[in-house]
Amino acid sequence: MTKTDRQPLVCQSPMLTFDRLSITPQLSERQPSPKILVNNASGQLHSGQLTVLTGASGSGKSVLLKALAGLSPIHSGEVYYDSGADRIQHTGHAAHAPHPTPSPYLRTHSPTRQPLSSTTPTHWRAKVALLAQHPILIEGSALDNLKLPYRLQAHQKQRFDISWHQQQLARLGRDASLLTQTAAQLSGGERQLINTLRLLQLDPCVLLLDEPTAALDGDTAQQLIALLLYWLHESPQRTLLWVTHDTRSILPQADQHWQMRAGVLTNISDE
Amino acid sequence: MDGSSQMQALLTYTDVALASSLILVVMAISWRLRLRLTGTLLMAACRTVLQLSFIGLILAWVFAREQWYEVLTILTIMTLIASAAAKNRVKRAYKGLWTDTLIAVAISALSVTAVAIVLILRIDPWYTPQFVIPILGLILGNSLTAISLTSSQLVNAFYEQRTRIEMLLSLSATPFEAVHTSIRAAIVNGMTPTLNSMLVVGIVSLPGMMTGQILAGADPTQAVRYQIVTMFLICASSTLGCTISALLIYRRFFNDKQQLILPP
Repeated sequence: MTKTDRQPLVCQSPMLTFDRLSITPQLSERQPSPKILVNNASGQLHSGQLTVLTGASGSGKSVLLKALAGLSPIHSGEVYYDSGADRIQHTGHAAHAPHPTPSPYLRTHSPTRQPLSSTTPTHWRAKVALLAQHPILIEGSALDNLKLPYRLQAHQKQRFDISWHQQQLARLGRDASLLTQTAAQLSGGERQLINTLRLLQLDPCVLLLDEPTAALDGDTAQQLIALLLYWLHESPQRTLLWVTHDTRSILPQADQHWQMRAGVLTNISDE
Repeated sequence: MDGSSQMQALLTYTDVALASSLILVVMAISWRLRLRLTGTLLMAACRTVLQLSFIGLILAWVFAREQWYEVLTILTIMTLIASAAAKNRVKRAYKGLWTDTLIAVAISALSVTAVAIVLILRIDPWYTPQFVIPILGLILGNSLTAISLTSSQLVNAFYEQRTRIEMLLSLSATPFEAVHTSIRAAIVNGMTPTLNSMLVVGIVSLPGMMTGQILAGADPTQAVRYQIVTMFLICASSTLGCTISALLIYRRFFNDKQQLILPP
C-alpha cells in the first residue's frame, strides 16, 4: 500500500475481477504458437480505488487492458463485472441517465456478477471503458466529438449535457472556447482532454487507462490526472486501472500496484 | 467503302496492315527520341493482334453453341475468371477473400444479366450466345473493377483505422456503427469509375460499344438506347457487387463477440 490518506466512502467491494486470464496472439487462433501475450493473470479492481499497472513496453499491459474492455479475444479465463446489488444511486452530473437494469442484457443466473463471455458486448463496454494512449478524434469541432457517442444506438436514450463539460473545463482552468475549436486546431494535450471527457460523460464504472498522459507535457498531464482522480472519487461505484510509467505523480496515489513482466502479472503492493 | 446503301466499311486484312503502319511510325519516334518504348510497343501491338484474333476464333466457336448447358458452362467460366481477377487486385488478401469475391461477383453480375436477358431484351431462348455472352462480359468487366476497388479499400481501412474503430467500439458502438464510415467510403470508391463514366458519357467520351455499333452500320438511335440500357445494367451490378463484397468483408473482420479481428 502506497497511500493511506484517503478513506473510501463505502465498504470497498470488487467491481472487476479477472480469473486466470490467458491471451494468445490473434493470428494464431487456429494454429497455436508458443508465444503467450498474457499468461494466467488474475486480479481484482475495487470500488473507489486506483490501481496502477507498470511494466516494460511489450510486456502485455495494453493487451490485458483491451481484453478486459472486451475488445480482443481471450484464450482462457474469465472476466466478471460486479454491478453491486446495493449500488448507491449517486447524484453526479446531469448527463447521468439512470442505467438500464442489467438483467435484460444478461444470460446469467446471478443478478450482480456478470461474466464478460455472456454479456452483450456493447453493454459491457458501456460499463468497462478503455481510454487509449493516442486520442482519435473525428473531423469537426471538439463539441462534435463530444456529441459523437450520442449518435450511437447504445447512448440514444441519454442526452448530451454541455454544462457538465463546461464545469470540468472550468475546474481545470481551461477556457470553454476550447469546445468550439476544430479537432485539427487542438494541441496534443487538448485532444486527449476532449478524448477523456468524451468517455467520462458516458459514466462508465470501470475505466481502463492506457498511458493517457505519456505523450503530454507536464502541466496538461497534471490536469488530466486531476480530472481522472476527481472523476474516480466523485462516486463510490467507480474504479480506475491505470497503465503508466509515471512513478512521480500517479504511482503515489495508487491503492494497488501491479506489475507486468513478460505476460505475468504480479501484485507488488502486497510485498 | 463498299458503296452499299448502308455505307458499311468492311475491313480487309490490307486495312489492318495499313493501321499497323501507324504503330511503326510511333516506334520510329520512340527510337529517335530514345524513349525506350520500342520493345514495349512491339509487344503491345503483337499481343493486341494475337489476343483479339484468338478471342475472335473462340467467339465464332461459342456463337455456334446451341445447347443451354454449353452456354451456361461458358458463363460460369467467365464469372470464375472475373472473380479471380478481382481477388488478385486486393493487395492484403485474407483467408476467405476468394469466396467473398466470388459470391459478390457472381450474385451481382448473374442477377443483373438475368434481368437484362429475360425482362429487358426478352431474348428467346435466353441462352442465345450472341446476346447473353457479350452482356455478361460487359457487366463482369465493370463489376470486377468496382468490387476490387471496394474490397481493397475496405481491407486497408480495417488495418489502418484499427485504433479509430476500437475507439468507437470503446464508446459502445456496434461493429456496424464503428465501421460505417469506412464501408461507405469503400463503396463510393468502387462506384466512382461507373458514376464518372455515366456523368460524362456523350459529352467527353463516346462509349466504345456505341461507336462500334454505329461504325458497323447500326441505327444511331438504337445504338444510343443500347448504350443507356448497358450503362444502367453496369451501374446496378456494380452497386450490388460493391455492397455485397463490403458486407462480406465486414463479417470477416468481426467475431461474434463484436471484436475487431484481423483474419489470417
